[in-house]
Amino acid sequence: MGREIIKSSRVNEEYIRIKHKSGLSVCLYPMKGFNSSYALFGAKYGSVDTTFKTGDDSDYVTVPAGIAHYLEHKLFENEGAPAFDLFSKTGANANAFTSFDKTAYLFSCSQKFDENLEILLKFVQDPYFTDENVEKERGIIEQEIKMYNDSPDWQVLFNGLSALYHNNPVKIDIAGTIQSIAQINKELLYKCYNTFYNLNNMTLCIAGNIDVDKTLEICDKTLKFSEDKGLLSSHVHEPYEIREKEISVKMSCSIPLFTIMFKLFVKESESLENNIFYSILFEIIFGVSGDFYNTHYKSGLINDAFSAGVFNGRGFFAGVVQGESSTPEAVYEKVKETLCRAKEKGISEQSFLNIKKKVYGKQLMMFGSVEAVATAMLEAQFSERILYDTIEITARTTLNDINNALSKLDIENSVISMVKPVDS
Amino acid sequence: MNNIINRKQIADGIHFSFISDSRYKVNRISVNFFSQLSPDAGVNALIPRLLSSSNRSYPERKALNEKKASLYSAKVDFNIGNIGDTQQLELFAVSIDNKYALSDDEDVTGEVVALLSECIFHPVLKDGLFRAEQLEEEKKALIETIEAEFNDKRDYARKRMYETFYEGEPAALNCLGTVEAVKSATAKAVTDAYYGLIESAPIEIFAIGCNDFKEISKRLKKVFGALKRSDIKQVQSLPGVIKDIPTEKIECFPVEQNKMVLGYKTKSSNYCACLVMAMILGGTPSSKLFTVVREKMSLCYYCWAAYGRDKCSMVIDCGVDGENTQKAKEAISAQLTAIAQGEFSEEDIMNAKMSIANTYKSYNDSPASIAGWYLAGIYRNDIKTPENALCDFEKVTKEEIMKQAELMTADTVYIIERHV
Repeated sequence: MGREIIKSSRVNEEYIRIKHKSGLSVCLYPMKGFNSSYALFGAKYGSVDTTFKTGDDSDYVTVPAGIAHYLEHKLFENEGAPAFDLFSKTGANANAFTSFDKTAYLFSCSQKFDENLEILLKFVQDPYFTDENVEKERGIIEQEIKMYNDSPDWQVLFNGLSALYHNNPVKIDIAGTIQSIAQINKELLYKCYNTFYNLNNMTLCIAGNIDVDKTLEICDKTLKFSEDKGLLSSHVHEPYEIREKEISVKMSCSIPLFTIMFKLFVKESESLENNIFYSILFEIIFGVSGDFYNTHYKSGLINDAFSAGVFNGRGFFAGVVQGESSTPEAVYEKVKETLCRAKEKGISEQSFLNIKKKVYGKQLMMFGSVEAVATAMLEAQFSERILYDTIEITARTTLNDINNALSKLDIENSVISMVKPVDS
Repeated sequence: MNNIINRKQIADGIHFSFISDSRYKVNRISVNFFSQLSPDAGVNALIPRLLSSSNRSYPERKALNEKKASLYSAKVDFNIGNIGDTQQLELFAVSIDNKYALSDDEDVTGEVVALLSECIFHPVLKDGLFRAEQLEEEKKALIETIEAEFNDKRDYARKRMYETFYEGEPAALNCLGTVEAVKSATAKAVTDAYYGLIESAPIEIFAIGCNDFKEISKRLKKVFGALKRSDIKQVQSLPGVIKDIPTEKIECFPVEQNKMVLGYKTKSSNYCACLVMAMILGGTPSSKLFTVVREKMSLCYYCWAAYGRDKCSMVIDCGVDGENTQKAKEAISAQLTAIAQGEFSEEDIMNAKMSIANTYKSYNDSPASIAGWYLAGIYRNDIKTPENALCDFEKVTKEEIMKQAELMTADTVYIIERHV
């Protein structure tokens, strides 16, 4: 169990990374003087992982959409007291989330850290699913799905993904649908748990007020050895072209919302670099200091809900421009025209340098938050990176990188998703 | 670490406070204007938008935004909110400290503070008024922000509930104002309101970060200390008036899930006991609303209670299927009754207190959260460190908690009901 100290001279910070004998990767970031600590125990398992196999399986298995999220709900229930009850005795703020490509259980606390960590590590390693408790959860998750179904922001995003992708499972709602979760039972939950909650597929990231030796002692005491069974998630073939150019639905809202998405394919190993390049590119072209934002804010075409950036994760990558407008179709045309002009002229040195500083500054500000540091460590670990890669790559990014990224953007290979008011 | 605020009066009704703490990587300077919520809230809400979008050195939004980007993503921005009956307009600047700049000779913090001061004191005016074109842009943006509140039905339901819950009181008003008030705001009205704030609003300035703030405080004291101030308009919140007959209001929209918000009021001034009671009822995942209404009855995904100190009120909200709405309402009410009858343990009390302690102790870890903590304390004339404030909770007893539950009076129910 070697301790690796990962340092950054640029930000004068360091953290410790350990491959624990149980199979778990552990990242510890002590932050002197902070009262609180933030711990994330995450599995590289999200809503996109619906077809998979391990060394024990003869063939790929496909499970219903929403099962990673269902599992997240169910893990809080143990044979004894529910995990929430245990956390309530320490006062910690505990929660969990499921995203497209990961699931994480977390707590933040400013007291009784050791007890909290023990609770976290134990409950995640101790599933307890019964027919009754799986059934009971269905009603709660149905309400969660309905809550998101009433959210125009959520709907405009997922409709955009379903227009962009033919087969990529990122297009399916993280919580699944009322129909898909109806098929989930305790056997399927155990199957997914045993596959993805292998400690070799998991990471523990903690930042804040912690004692490293004590933390590792708790890991030694509570982590159960996991044999690495060689997990394989199936890669679906995704055509280059988008699936549907435009998608529009009506909902109860005040002003049309839109999400414009540009389909991009990048190598998984270069995802971070591309994330930074396209983030800088979109900030230069569509950010608040650019011509696009200021011209169209002035004309009233867009308002301050407008934003642009990158939507990416394991197996998916897209450039995104989103906001509110009474004429979203006109915004789409202007966005495409602006990108065409930028492609012809290239990006100027001055605007590049300004935005590079902006992105660099944003990344630096993260180091003052225990939550942001722990979350970024988890992200880095699952991407087989170190935490400081993001700020280092940003500092080294050149204008050439940005112009290259721009040249690869296929402007017409894009979609617009709109949610319009019911009475429009 | 326990940060104690250093607060000094620098002009009539203007106070400057700072915390210098090497843990932070950033410096956050904020200037907060307080005024009583009124039908003019929308006029006031235009002011921070106008001030943060340009100034005399950078008369166009684009130029100002370019300048901010060049200062390492410095923010010069605003927040508009309310504390009870009072509207709070915050203009703030956040930037990395000079020591983290890519080259050694950059005075990022100094430049950002200068930018913030320029925005507040040197807006671009034409014939002594905010420019008509800029005002129209900001009016449109603010109106769309107000209208967009309708998109998030949970948040919208809470705001609609407040209108009935606090009817006739300032807290019933939206801190962003109404669409109508914003539409009719003239350049003269907004400019007069701006000078009104500068001249007579209580102003609290906070500087929190890793800087020592010696130079910054000199600069801020100089500009704010030179202001001509008179007739400072004091602000306060009064407890919500309890209705003689509880009200229920239902609105129908094409949604999948009903959103229900229940408002309770109390005449009690025992804040600590009220907060502990609300935590036991619905403040944590081990609370009664979570364990019974969500986990046991599977009625809701979210069902939380929150106690508001300034208006002595408690708000509970949940999302629930149409056919279960009445059942959920009865179940929520039954949990409050259960607390009034003492159906909770010493352990529940301990857990609620622990949860409050956890939250309070975390305030010190971010410049924005500790500023928010002290600002609320100043507003209530009850300035304490989070750690000292925690001592007041230790003595809360089971009997006091039962009493607070008993004193909570059902006042308003607001429901967004599904219709297809």
